[in-house]
Amino acid sequence: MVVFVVGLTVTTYLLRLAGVGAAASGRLDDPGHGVLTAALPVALLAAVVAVQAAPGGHPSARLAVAALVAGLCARRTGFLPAVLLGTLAGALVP
Amino acid sequence: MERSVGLRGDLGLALGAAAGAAVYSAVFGAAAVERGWPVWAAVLASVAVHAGGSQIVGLTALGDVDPEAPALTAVTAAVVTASLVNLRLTAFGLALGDVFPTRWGRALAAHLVSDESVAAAVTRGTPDTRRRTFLVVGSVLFTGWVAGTAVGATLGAVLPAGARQAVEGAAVAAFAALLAPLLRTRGDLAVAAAAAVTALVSSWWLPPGLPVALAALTVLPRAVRRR
Repeated sequence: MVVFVVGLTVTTYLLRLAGVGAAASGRLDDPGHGVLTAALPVALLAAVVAVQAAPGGHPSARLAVAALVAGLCARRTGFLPAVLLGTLAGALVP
Repeated sequence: MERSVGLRGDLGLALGAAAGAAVYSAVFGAAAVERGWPVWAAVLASVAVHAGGSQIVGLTALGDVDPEAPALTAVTAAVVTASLVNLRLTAFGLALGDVFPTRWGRALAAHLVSDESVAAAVTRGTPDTRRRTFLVVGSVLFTGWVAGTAVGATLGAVLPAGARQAVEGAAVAAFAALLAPLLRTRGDLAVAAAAAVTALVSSWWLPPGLPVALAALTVLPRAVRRR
């Protein structure tokens, strides 16, 4: 247990630091970098939503509804109400 | 518009993200205790690792090994599997750009890099506002994450399964609510759709973590076209 936690702590920190460090180093300072900075969060969040709404590749109606409602509400209601409405809508799915 | 988005807006984002994370981390806390971890160990894992999906995947990968004396090979495999889930954190760090110009700043801030903190930060227009949003959302999220783990580890076993299922959607709702404001152009929609399909299809045969990392590659054609 302790070895697992220590090991995962070290690898996770290094993975985070690698990204932050590379971004600040200037090595990515080219026209494509601006696109990467803007598009990476979009791609990553979309992927996270997809795999969370479909655990193991199998879509869950409850999770998909939660994601859909939260996504649709986010622009109109703001973040927190959208999360609450999404969670509520998902909970109502049998 | 960017200037009008102040600390109050950051706190709103932070509280919503923390609420979603707390639910998710409570699941981790309850699962860890169910597998024989003491409450303090579950909380310590959330303080030190602070990466939700990987903690749950790692815990699952550890399986039913004795928490007091697990086999080294099983632990190594669990660490590697859980680290795959965290590959996306490198990509999220890249997206932060020049928010932390000093080495010490980056070293200290790295622990707060998460899907939510970076996604919130990149919606701001200047390095200063991005830094502030990242620190506010990251700090509150971290607090919610650790608190949720403590609650889950302490009370998880006594909560009925129905109650746990009812709030299951909170995490995915938080991610979807973070994503929606970032979809400003047709190009953004195309990137999101390609990434979602890539992650979904690849999750049928790739281990957890790799589908999201693979989906990050869908931005490359767009970046190459701009060069």
